[in-house]
Amino acid sequence: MKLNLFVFNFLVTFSLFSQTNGSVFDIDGKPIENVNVFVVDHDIISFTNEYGEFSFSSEIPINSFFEFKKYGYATMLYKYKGGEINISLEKLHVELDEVGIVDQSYSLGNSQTLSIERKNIEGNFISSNSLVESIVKLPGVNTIGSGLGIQKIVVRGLAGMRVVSYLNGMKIENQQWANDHSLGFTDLGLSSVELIKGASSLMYGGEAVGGLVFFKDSPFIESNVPSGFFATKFDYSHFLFGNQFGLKWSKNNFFINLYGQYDIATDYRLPNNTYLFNSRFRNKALKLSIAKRTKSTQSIFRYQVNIDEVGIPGHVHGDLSNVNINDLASSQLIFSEDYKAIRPVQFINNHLFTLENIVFNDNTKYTFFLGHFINNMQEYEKWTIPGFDMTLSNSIFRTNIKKFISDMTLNIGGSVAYLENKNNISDFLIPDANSKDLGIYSILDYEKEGLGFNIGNRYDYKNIESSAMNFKNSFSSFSSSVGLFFNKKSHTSRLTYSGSFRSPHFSELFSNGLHHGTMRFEIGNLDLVNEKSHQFDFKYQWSSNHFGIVANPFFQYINDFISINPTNEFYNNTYRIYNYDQFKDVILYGFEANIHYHPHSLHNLHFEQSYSFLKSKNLDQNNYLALTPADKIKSTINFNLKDYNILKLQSFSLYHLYVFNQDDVALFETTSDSYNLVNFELIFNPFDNLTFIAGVKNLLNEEYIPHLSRIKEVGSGIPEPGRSFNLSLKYDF
Amino acid sequence: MKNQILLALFLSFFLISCEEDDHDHDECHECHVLCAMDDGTTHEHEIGEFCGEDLHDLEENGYTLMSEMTIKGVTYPAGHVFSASEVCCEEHAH
Repeated sequence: MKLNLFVFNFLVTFSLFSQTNGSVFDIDGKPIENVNVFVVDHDIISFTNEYGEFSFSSEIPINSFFEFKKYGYATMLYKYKGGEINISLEKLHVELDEVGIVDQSYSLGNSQTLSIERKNIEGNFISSNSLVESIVKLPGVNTIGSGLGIQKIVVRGLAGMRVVSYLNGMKIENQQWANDHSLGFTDLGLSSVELIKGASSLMYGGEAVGGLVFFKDSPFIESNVPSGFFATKFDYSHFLFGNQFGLKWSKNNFFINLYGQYDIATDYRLPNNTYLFNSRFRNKALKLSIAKRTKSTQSIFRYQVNIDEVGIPGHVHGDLSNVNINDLASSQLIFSEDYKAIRPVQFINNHLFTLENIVFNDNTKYTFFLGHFINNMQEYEKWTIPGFDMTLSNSIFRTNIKKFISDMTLNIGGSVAYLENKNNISDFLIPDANSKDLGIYSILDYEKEGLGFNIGNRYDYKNIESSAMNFKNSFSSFSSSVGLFFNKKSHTSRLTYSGSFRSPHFSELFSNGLHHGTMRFEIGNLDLVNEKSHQFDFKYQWSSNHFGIVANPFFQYINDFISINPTNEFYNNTYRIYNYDQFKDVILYGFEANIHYHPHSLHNLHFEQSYSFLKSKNLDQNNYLALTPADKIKSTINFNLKDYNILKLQSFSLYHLYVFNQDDVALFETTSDSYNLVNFELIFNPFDNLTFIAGVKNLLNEEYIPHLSRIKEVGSGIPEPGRSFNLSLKYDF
Repeated sequence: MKNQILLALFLSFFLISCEEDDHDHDECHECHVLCAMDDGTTHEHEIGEFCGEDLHDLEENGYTLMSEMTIKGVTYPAGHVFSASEVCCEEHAH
């Protein structure tokens, strides 16, 4: 009987619900159709109908945030106070949401008191050749890599362990210490990426000395009718063929999203019409997300698998500088052979499981997060024996209590993490090792009438152990962040200080072996201590109806900076030996700026430009840090042609990148030349729900070698791909 | 609509199940040994084509000279062993 009552209660809880409804109008009181109505805490989206109305099948808890968004209108963030919602959206011509002018929801914290940047990557698969290619359009963001196969994010000159990546709340640990190890996942099912430059995000750990990149899945949809898409693309530079599909469906507060992807690419075409041998890659991915919600609770389970085969181009034996790059390129492609994995190659398998439970109370939100990430990486230089075969698994439990107290928001939480590196063969570069990490934090945000502040502290205790190295040590430290914010008459100023630390990684402590991907013999250092960073960041923003500007100077001081440095010794007379060491004092400083302008007479025409400048200094040796990105000017002209009905053309965009030369180099590092890059893109809507994109990348067939290219030091430097066209097609249903 | 969903599900299974095993290689590969020269450079000397188990043995145990060999003025006696790390069978551009 008791059991029956329990089951009855359970069913009643899940079946009794009332609706939350509302309407969206413009300032003249006319209804607006197709507005994205996003319930931030629930990760659910709905759309307004032709009468501007929307509804959710169950009641949304009060104090939940709604985000109302439609192109051409100012995005609005609304705190739900109960009852029916009536929203009025203002027309907007200048949209600088990617650099934080528009008030919108962020997973990383309050956008007013923290300097967060966000980029929408919902349509990234058809509009960009890769996920990273899209993110590097943000000022201060660069990439280390070679072609499209290997790309990783650099924030203000810092990368690897210093830029922490999160995917739907899970920290991605995928041997990211090396420049030949890519991001580990694609844009499949993602909707946005948020970026904090520096270590202000205490909620997600203090180790992000360089920055934190938070990737977020596309929200669940409130609709009984299944919806989804098929997309396909071709890129001439790599002869890349890519396909994606996505499905979304919901019923009775049960939500499901399913995505799949398959990409295959061969060696990329250099500007001189030869093909960089072994720059090929292949990717397969599948992603499933399931959610169930009631009035006061929500559970989301996600699973993702990502399988990569990545060729490592520019592989040579002996002195890199003595190589003729023509010996590393093919005069033609043989399609029957050149899509196959050869050597050296990486085989990477990533599995991600997350479970997030949220309990909503009137003024409090409780979050419980459990995540497990498995990364298996095999690197082969030989055909039959891997150079190394490592499995890195990361488990995290995190909890957070978010409490609204008048104009203040208090976040208190903690996390426990266990990271384990295990070798599956006797040869290894990094031995078996594990770390246990315990962190607690509190963050207070205050915001009232254009004035606000943010103050937070975090304490982390980490224990690193390796029986193979007879090593056991603990690393602990305090991180802190303080931010002030002032907003008056469209002028916004924000000053942030963040102090953080980063404990040494397994690779930095224990490496001892040949790393084929980087063609060097790497030796770790058991005496490394915590790296400590202090960063000041000031951001000023202003916008009117036709003009917007952002100015962002910053200064960062790092103590005990961990660095891998070349020696004059060689392993087997072939591979240069590198040692891990620490520099006592390192500084990085710079300036980033954006402008956005559109003429009053042509509201559909937009000019956007950003400038980023960065200097680094190693005060110990009175020279520069290696791999400091060159200064850049990025310019975009975007013409929205929807209203003109020309050949079903929706928009035209032209992108120009000017990269300055980089003469500030470290020991054994070469300088790099300036270059121009021009891309253009046409977007068509030939039929309802069908999008067709045609574009040209590197229009001028410029032969350029980015300063951060991982194959810059091979021979006289291996250029990036030459002129290429790309075509893509997406059908939404 | 139903057909589209079925097609998508079919594709998802196809994408996951079409994994090829690139780890087992029965085919043959041209191999070479790396010879350290007096001037600090490295010379790649071809040693022929190896297949299957022979390829695996070569990559695991290295290459033993059956007879004396002179490469770029350096003479290696019969029985000289080039270690596994001095043997390479990866392909080069075509």
